[in-house]
Amino acid sequence: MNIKIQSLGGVKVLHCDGSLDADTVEAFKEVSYKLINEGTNNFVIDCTEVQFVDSIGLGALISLLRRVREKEGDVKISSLNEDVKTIFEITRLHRLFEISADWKTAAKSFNR
Amino acid sequence: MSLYHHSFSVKSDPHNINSLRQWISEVGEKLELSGFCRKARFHISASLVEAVDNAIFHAHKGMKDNLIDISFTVDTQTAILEVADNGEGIKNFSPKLVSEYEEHGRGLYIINQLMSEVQSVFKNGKHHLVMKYNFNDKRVDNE
Repeated sequence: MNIKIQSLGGVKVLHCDGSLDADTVEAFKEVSYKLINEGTNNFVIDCTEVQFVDSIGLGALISLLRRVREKEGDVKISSLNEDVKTIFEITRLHRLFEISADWKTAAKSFNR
Repeated sequence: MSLYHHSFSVKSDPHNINSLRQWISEVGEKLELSGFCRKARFHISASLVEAVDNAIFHAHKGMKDNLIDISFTVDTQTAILEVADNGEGIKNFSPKLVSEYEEHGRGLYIINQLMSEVQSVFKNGKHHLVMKYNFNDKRVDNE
């Protein structure tokens, strides 16, 4: 998994690619937790190039969400493909995360 | 009579996940069965990943030298995927959805939603998760 980090004010957009699964989850945690330690509380996870997410990847997203919500931050998800959206829906996580059609919309929603 | 059958073993290592997922997609594409469509390939490959994750982290507790046995059989109506590990198995297999902030425990629930039938059985000294996908299953999985 490659992760490109984009800063938009106080929001960090993580443009991820490939899979977020048991094989890649440590790389995702390393990058996102480092940003938390540096003071970031608001994240957009841009999944435009993410083909697959398993339950362990979902766990990493929830872990990130829990950490930032303790600091009144949030994690928003954007651009899920049909398969990943199915996984979010059957696990009901589309109710836990705000999911946007694109990362720009998700980033702007922090200003509401 | 099956159109496809293949059995093999892999080490209990997350590095294998991506290639296993690709393998299911390639088998589905080559067989050119109308029922083994893109959605079916996703359901079966995602279930295989969850079953292998379960074997790696729960049954084998991260010990990579343990082997996971995988068997995949396809006929015109069904695909049967079997994943065997050294774990103790699952009594009264009926996975429930965990609470939304829980970080673990969704894998078997996902399999149960994506596949038509799932059984946890113990045979030949190993735990087998037997997952069946009916190509004519019209069940809505994300209602």
